[in-house]
Amino acid sequence: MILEVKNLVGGYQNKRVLHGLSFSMGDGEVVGTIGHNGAGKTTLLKSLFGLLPPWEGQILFRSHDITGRKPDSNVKEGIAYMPQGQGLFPDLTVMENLEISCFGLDRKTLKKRSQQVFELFPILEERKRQRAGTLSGGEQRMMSVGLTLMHEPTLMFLDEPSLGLAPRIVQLVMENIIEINRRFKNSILLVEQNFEQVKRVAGKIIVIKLGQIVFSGILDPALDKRELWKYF
Amino acid sequence: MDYILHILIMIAIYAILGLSFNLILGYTGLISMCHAAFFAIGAYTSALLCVHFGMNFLLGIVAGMIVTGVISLLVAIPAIRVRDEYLIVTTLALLMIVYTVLMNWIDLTRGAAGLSGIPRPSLLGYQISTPAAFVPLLFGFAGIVFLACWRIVHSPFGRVLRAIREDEVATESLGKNVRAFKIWIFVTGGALAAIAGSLFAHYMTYISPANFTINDTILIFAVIIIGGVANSWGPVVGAFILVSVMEALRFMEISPTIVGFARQIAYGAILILFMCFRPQGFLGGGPAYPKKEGEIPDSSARKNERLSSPEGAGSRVSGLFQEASGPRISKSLLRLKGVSKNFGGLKAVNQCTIDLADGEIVGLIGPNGAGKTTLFNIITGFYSPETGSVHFAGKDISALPAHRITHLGIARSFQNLRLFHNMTVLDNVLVARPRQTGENLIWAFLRFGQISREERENREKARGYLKFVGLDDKADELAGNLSYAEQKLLSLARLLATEARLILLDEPASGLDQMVMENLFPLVKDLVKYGKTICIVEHNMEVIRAMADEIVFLNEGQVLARGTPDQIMKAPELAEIYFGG
Amino acid sequence: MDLLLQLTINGLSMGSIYLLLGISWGLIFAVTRTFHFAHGATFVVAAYSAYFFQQLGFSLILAAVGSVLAAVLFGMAVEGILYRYLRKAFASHLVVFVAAIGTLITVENLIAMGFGTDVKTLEGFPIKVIKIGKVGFNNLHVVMFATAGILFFLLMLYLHRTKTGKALRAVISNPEMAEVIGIDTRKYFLLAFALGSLLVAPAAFLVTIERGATIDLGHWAILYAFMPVIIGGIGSLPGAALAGLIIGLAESIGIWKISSQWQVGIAFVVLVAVMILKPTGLFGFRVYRGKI
Repeated sequence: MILEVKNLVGGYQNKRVLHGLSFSMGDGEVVGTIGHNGAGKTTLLKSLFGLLPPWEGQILFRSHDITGRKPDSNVKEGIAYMPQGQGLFPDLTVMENLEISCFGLDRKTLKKRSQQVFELFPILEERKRQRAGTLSGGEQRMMSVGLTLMHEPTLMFLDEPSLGLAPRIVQLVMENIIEINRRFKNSILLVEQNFEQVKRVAGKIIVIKLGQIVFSGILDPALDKRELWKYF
Repeated sequence: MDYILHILIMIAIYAILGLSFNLILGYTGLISMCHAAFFAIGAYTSALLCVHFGMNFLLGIVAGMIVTGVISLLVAIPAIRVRDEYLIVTTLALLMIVYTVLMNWIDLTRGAAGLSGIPRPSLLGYQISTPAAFVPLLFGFAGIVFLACWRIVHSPFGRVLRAIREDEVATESLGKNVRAFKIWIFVTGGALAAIAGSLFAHYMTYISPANFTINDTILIFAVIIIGGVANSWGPVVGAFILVSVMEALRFMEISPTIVGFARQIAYGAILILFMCFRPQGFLGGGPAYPKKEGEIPDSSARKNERLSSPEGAGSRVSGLFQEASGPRISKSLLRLKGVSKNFGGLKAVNQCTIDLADGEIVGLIGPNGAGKTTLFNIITGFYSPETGSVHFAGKDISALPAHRITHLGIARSFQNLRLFHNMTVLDNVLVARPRQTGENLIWAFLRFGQISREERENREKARGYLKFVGLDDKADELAGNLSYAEQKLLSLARLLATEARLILLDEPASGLDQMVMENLFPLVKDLVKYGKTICIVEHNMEVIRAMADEIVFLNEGQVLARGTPDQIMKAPELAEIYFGG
Repeated sequence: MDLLLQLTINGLSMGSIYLLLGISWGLIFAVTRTFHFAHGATFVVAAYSAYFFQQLGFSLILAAVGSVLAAVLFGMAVEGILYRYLRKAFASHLVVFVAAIGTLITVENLIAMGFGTDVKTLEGFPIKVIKIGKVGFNNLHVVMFATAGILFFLLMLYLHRTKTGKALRAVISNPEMAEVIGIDTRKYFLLAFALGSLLVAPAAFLVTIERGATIDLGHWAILYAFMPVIIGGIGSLPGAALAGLIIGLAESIGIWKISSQWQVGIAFVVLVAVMILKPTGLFGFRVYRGKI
């Protein structure tokens, strides 16, 4: 088990969003999380990554308790998080974004890792010297995904990588995620609204509704989209 | 004896300065650095007029207030526009300029030498010249200023000020012209400070620019911070403590120059220590330490998520919604035509055309980033559309500011609620009441009867709205202490109190658990009976299905489909878009 | 024509000081979002420590080094002890602001107690008047302009070419994301204060050479640190730098028609004009407004 979550309760201020979630992820697994907005998907990722202090419950990473640990230690231990929306530094160039994201590592590693990112996303190499804020929406998303790879994470939390992208670009980004999983054998917890893409990428699925897990298990490829409305 | 009287007089002067500054900084949250400049302008105006024209000192005070008011207005208009920092910088610059003028316009002010021979005031034929005679005069004025401030703060006008301090955007959305309120209070505070200036000049009979430096502004900061920001008695207590400390230092056996420095150091240290350890001052008051995201709340607030169900809402609220149910407009109440809005190349809303019929509940759904909230912001005037028009009840509202649109009858809720956390539940609702005579600063002093009558009515109404959502027993609690579910209901009550006939709800069900949610549905559905039209943005389909008559499906800033919930949810192509293909 | 040239040179030299004030405060504000009113105190600390070190018998150069060190230590102390404590306690902007004002006047008056209120000057700068045609200026003007130019250039180089500099820009650009990728923002806040204080020290030093140091320079410094940032546009350091020069030129050329005592008024007019005509500042690339 790379990640075990036991009875996690959390939220913002006095707003309780997560009402006791428990699930686990195996090595190399891709788990899709779906549920409507406000169901608590983003809150879950933030609580797991240490951006929000969990109120109750336990988070185990490779059997170590990491409940409430700060993001900087999590990053060093190989956990990465891609936030929703603009997960990059718009005023820095593409290359600078990559450099910053493997802060504390030496030049050689930087070169190797950015090469990995460029292999996955060749377009970024072409735009190396461009300010990240001037990239197109799809390129920005690739950039964000690329940034999470710089510490060669074994566990990745991706928050809506398809958000706001054109269908064609969504396909592309999802293929990249499949490729990442294939190449680095890492575990990915994916929050997505785009169910078709979740089906393509994830082996397991968690459905969250009102801060509780209402379904979790193997994803049935025959599951029809229209049936999903009941979870939304 | 005279010495003690002198101390009392100085306390009165600083109390006036503190009281007036408290209006600006404490109640409204505007950071101004030029209160000493207002003090100076009042002092010099009155002194010069009395010295050169033998004017009566009462007229001098009035003249000082007018001149100060005009100058503060000229500063406020450009500075109170975009950001709080602008006011800090502008007022700091004004302070420096006033000082420079006092130092350098020698023909008028006699520069650094100062102005001497200022006549002692005479009132009703009595010459006031001894400290013993000054004390009642000063206390009289301090009392008047205190009462004026008390009245301002406890009037509907003051309630709006506190709301502005808590959340400007929410205040604007409730139909208040935030900028006008800010400018009014800035000018009023300045004019009241001028009174202290005039009194100071006539008491001391000698003034020089050295009396009105930035150190004096800082002293005034200290006065209200020691006593307690946004506390009516705070400035009085602060003035008492500071003036006493100031004078006590005089008795220590050190040279006078050192005493001067020691005083300043004491003020500085007081400011730092109070900010670190007791930011609310001795008496408490304003919100110095608001709760921030990520702070772990105390467990009682967390556990207490359930709330009593607001059963039988309709029966108890007769009379509450009558005003709202004007004549039904047969055609559409709200009409958006070809509305677009871009954010840096991203088309958030793109040629969107929607009609909302009077008296229906419409659900607005669509995948994330479809432009739903942006659309709300356009309708309510927080964004102006780049193309197209928005008509409400036949009137073009595309170019109107947010508060005007609320007046016309559109009100919206916010995803993050934006309640006024440090105000009571009842006050939260009271702020939202439209057409309050007491929100006009001048009427607040002239139409006592009418205002108290209105207040009574509004209170009753506000309690009615709270009853409607089932919060009437929490009316006197601070909004920040409510559980999230209760806050959500409060935001609904606040919204209804605006008497708007079109209500825009942004994710009313998010963050609520099943039970609370089920209590909420009938409440919202009932509203239509009272003449409301409702538009809901919501991701929880259960909520949409339970509440909405019709669904508008939005994608990439455009209306893609419209129909009953069942129609929409059966359409394969919409599921395709919502869940991706 | 000669007069205009003369005034331009004067303006640029004073503008260089405003430039340093503007970018030093602007850097701190951009990174930490703290309205650092105590920056004026850093200025005074730098000026008086230069004087102090010279009185101890150090040379002018060493005094300059000492003043930079003192300023950096002071700036870091204010951030590390006061602001950090307040931020931890979720203090509002107002609380931080008032605490900063308190720091400013405490420090100013402590120094006044120790050194007295008379004007302190630095000795030993070999002032030479340079005359080109009818235009006269001295080498101090040149030093001011050169110092400001070089420091600005070095700052830009640092921010764009070094690892830590890029990390600082990252924090300015997207603070939440900086945390996500594991940047310890607290460290970079401290760094921003160190750099900002380092940049303000030369300005204090040069002003002390030119006209001597007094206690109330702190207020003057803080005003002229805010104005370039607001005029240039919050978030743009080149904007602040250019605005600093513009203020210097406007004040200097204004003297042509107006008596020199009213200089503050000229800067104020520029400020108000910019606020009315372009509320985001001349080069502000973002409008920071309450988010809806």
